[in-house]
Amino acid sequence: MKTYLTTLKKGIIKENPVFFMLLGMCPVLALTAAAENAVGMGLATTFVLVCSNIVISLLRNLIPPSVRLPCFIVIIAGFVTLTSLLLKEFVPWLYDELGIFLSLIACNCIILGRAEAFARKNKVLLSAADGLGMGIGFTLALFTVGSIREILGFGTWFGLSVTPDFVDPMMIFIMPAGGFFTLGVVIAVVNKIARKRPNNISCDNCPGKELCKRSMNNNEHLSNNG
Amino acid sequence: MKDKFDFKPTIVLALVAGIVTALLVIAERSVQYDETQLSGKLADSCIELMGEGEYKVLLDWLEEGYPIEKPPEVAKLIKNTTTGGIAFQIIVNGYSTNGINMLIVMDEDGGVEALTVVENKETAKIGTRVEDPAFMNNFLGRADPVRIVKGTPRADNEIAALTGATRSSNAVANAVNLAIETYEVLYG
Repeated sequence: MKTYLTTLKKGIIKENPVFFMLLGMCPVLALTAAAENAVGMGLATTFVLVCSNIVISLLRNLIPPSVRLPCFIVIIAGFVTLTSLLLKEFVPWLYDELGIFLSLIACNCIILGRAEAFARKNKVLLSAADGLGMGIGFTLALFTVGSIREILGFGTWFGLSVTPDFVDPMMIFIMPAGGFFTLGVVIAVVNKIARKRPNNISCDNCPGKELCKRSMNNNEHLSNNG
Repeated sequence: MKDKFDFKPTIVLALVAGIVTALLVIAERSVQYDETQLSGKLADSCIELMGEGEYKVLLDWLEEGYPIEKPPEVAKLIKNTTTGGIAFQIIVNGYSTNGINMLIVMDEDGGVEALTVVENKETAKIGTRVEDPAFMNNFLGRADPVRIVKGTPRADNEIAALTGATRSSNAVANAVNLAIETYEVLYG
């Protein structure tokens, strides 16, 4: 039981996909001009994430490693299509608001990332917990950025007026530039609060370690010559 | 020595793709989206401008006996069968592609009876200013095509552009002109 809770919780803060892993930036920047759309997008992604994690985990022993990526993509794209069908039928306003970004969930790197890093190696329930945790973390991130941008940029929150007269809405926050700016500040603040820098950083898990080593060697080579 | 070709990956991938496709086809059939029904913001706008009533959406104009096919910018021809009102939903390019989605209600003489912006994807607080009643009211009652000019309008068919939002203003005028012309062709 404890493992499930830890798995669930780690996606929300410790390994939050947006704030710490910097995955799925496209919807975070594109759909956070209003808190309502941000939460809608977060929930849609969570649904796809949980479903695809469950199915991929169920099939983990059947899928040969050589074709696992195409298989994962097909399963994920299937759930995205299902989500867009359901939204179009039952929540048409959200379908209209999300537009192209709804289909783009299919190439959201959080979902394929979790399939690749977690669901294909773990049991079904654990994968579901992981998907749910990551989904909630993603939704929270979208909600935070969306709220800040909507309050500062429109003076409203979920469509309700919160800063009637005393602050003039600042348009920059709902423009793309304001999105980058807000996201940067939020990431900085969350990282400052939630995590202290570890004393010794190991290069073992870094995807760029080979490149890093090579460039260091080159530099030594150059300095020796000079 | 010959290695045997491994068919397993191919078969698994084909099976996964096949099953997903089959399930999606079933899902799509069970939630069939009806384009002739009004929903969301468009339905709200229709009720606001044309009142309650039985609404009918005409998508295939030739089949309904109209002389022309639906122009691509006209998303829907909407009829309030209770009151006999006619409206066009028109989506035009403003500063952004398909930026302005309008509902334009026509009166029996081919004039604009009422109009509203259903959805505005223009730059917030710049292009979205076309929704101001002061600008919108310029189009009421028009039965002939209008023209947007910068500065002061000199002729009857000229309307002053909103400063800084010329392209959005033009988009609204284009939508209104298209509604007037299409109404003329259909019912004139």
